[in-house]
Amino acid sequence: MMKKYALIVIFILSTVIVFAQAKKPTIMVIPSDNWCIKNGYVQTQDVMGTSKTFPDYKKAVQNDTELLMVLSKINTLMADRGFPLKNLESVLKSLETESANVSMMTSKSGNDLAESPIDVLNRTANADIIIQLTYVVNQNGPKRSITFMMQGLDAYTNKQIAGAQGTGQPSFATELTVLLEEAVISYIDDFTSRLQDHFNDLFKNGREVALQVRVFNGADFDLQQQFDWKGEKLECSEIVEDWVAANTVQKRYSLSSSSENRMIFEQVRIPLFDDRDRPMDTRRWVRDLRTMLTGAPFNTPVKIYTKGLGEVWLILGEK
Amino acid sequence: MNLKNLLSLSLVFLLFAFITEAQTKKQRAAAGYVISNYEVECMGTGMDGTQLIKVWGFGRNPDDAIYMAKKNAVHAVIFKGILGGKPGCMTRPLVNQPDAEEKHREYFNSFFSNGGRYLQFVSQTGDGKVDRIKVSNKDYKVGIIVAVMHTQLRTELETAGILKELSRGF
Amino acid sequence: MKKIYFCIALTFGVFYLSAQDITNSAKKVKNQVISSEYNRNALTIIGLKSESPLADQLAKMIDTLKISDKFYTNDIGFRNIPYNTVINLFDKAQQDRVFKTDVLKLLNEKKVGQGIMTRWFNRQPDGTFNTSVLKERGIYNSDDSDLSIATASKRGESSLMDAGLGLVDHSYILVLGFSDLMTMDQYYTKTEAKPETRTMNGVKGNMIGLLYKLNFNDSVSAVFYQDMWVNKATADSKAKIAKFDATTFPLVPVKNVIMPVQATQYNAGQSLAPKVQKTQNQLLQDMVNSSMTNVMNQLTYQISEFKVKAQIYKTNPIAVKIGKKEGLGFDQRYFVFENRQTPGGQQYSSRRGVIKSMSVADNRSVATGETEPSYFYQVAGGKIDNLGMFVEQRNDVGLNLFLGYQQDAMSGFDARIEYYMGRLMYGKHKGIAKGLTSLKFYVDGGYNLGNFNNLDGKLPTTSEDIDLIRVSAGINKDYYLTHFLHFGPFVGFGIESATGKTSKYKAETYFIEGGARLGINLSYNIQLIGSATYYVMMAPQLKDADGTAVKDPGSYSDLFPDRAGLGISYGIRFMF
Repeated sequence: MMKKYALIVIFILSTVIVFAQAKKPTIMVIPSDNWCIKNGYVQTQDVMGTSKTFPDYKKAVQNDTELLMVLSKINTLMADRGFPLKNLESVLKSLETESANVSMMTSKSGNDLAESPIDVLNRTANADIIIQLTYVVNQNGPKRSITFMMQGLDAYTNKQIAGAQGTGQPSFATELTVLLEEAVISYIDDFTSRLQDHFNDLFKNGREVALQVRVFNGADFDLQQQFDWKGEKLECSEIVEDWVAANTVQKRYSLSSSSENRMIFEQVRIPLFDDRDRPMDTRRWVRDLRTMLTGAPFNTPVKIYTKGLGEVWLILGEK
Repeated sequence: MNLKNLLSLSLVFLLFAFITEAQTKKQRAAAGYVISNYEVECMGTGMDGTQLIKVWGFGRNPDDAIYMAKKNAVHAVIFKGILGGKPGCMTRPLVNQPDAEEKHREYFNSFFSNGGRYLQFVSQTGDGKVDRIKVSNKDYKVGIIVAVMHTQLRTELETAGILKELSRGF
Repeated sequence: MKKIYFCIALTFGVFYLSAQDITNSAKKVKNQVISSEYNRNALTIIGLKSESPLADQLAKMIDTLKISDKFYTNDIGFRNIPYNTVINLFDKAQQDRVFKTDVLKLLNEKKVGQGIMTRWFNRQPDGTFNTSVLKERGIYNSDDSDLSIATASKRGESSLMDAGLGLVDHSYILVLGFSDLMTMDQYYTKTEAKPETRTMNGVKGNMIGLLYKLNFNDSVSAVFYQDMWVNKATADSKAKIAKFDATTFPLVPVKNVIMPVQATQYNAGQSLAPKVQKTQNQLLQDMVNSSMTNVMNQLTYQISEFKVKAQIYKTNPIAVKIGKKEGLGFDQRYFVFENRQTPGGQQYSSRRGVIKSMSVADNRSVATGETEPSYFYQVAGGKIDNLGMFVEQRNDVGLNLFLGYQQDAMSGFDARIEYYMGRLMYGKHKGIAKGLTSLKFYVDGGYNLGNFNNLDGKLPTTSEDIDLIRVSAGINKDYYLTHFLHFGPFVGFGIESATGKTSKYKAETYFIEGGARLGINLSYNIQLIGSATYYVMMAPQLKDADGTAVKDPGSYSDLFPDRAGLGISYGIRFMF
């Protein structure tokens, strides 16, 4: 009998262990804007009447063998650490074959955003952490050295969560590819160590996300509309803010902008698991807010739009 | 001074010497398997998965000092990071938590014991060449160049539950 | 009584000298740390071509002068510069002026520094540089230890090549000049020598050896890389090429050596004349070669960078991974050091032993990780191990001087010069040659003023004072029983002459000597030596005061008892 109970406990525990795992962030390595511009891999686009320069990643990976080698080396080392990365070249190929929906919103939003190549790339790759890679070959007489930089950026908070940089020892005899490989090996451990710190922070203090609450043009009310809420007369924005405070880890969030049509919450710390110990993502987290807003006294349709793990938009007024 | 007084005085001195020695031994035990003020510097980027460093050790004879230096090398990679010397080594240690060494004392005592598992993660290079300084009648300071297999060391510590894998929890 | 005073004086002298030596040695090494790192140096030879009638011959010889395997050769296209060398052996100020101003200016005018840079960076006719020479020399300079470390690094062999850049600052220029050259005839005329003293032919004069170093420090190299380095055609190549052509790279005076030199031989018919007389050209060639050797020995003695250093690789027997590549010679002396630290934290190098080579490995190739070491035997000092002790080259002249006293047979004052001839015999031998180690040729001399009675009736006097002078030569080999004790059997052949102070009778006899010596080290270069020698005298020749031979002189022992048989000597030996 005892044996049976033990087995059941073990089974439940293992299930919990198996399922109580957060969603692994996806990481992708790309060359930085600085690198692309310095090496001539750029394209120009007309953005609202102004000619703007953007990196041309496809041209870079097709023409620069050393870049490919560096990207490959980083990918290999990260895979060895149990964290295979999204391959830039593969993502670029998907871009060509997949029909991407450029507009994030329907016509009711009124804003047709023109997307830059990086926006398209980010949206398509859906990488949560972008590793921006920069390297410069320094030449002094016969000697060459590499100044190398890896910046790990959270794709949606745009914060740098990890990094490693430095200049290697000069050499005149070592091939450039070996110098680059050496640079990756030299800095990858420091980088992943800082990445580990970030993940530890994640587990301890929750995942940092961003929340935007917006209003369609044809909505019945805006965010400054007052409602009777739990015995108080509060604006919709205040009610939303109270909800966010109640549903974040240690009430950690920052309301960076609030108007009748828009609320922007940044540095929002959501728990990694819900109250049923299921992995939490932004959609699951904001569902309760949607439920609250679709019910009385608000009774408004709500659209949830997520940008990967890190950003969610809640748009009132239409579905 | 009569004989009795002389004997008493000698006994006191002897006792003092024993206590001092015992204290020194206790200090050594408290300090653990390494003497924490060892020097370590980077000798450039090692082969994949290794750290190429120059490390110093102390000992009563050069052989002991070399053994201690190897321990110091592994200790440095785990707890200190490699900050000096040429570029190319990891500046952050494998284990970042300040109290990790104390928390896992039993494991590390065994790991760093004479002839312990630490030896599997360090190999001496340089064809036997060492730097040696006789610092006193009883002590030698010896510097050697070693390759520490930090990738394998990380796996070892992850298996022992001291380090978390990068993808753990996801 | 005389003997007692002599012994006391000898003892005091020994202790005084050894105390001096120990104090000075201790002082010297306590103030400095000797680096155990050694990198190959590069050498350029320049001859100063004077207006002497022999100048052309000397210039040709300098053109073909071989540089030791110990150095990289930086040939810059020419080896002779016109300059009339005038050196005053006793005027230091004049010597300094020649060294630090006149010749330095000349070298700069001839762009010798630029020539060396051209060699190192393999300048092409189109003005571009490349790194092929740097790479080749960087790899050749590395030893097994460097290779082992490089193999463990990501860069691998490239890191050995990179080390070649550090060797550029080890470029030296040796300037040789001959002054006051005159033939022996001219010399004899000048000194108004008597005809009977004009026994030699050849050339004599003075020689200067001036050593300069290329200064390729950080600031010089930075300017070179920035403003003159060209490896492919670019917009500013022409300007950079022109700038390099116009630049004088700085040279730094290091050391100057001045010594008298001669290339002479005894005239035909003289007892010490060679079987076949050498031509003047051959004599000059010998002079140039020996000048180069002597200058390099002097400079190696004085300049730390020229002294080969290496770690002890193994013991029993002592092995060090050096060989012909480092210019190692047979029976060459090295000091063994250990670095130490004072309680105050100051580091110094302490000499722990003295060793000599007994094999010379041919390692004139790139390190493979399994380089054959050369082997050594210990002649002085304490225990040596291979855990960080290192050796430094300390050439010795190869000469020993013994001063002592002999009693019983052949009694009297004793002096001896020994020369390590094993060095000349190793030649193309391979491997350990224990039989040639510490093998010496010696010349021994003794003197006694003895009073002899009962001169066997052969002399007109029954008792008189006799001057006894003996000279012998032979071969001796030392065997080192311990680090401080050696044993040396020997055998020789000599002649003794005994001249009566009153009768003027002279007796001469040949003898064979054989025996063994036992030596105890007081320091590495001073020993107390005791010898036991057995003398076998041949039949003597006896001549009266007029030089007429006396018939039937009898045996030497009858004439002078106690000259044959076993003699014991004791004294002190100095090694140079």
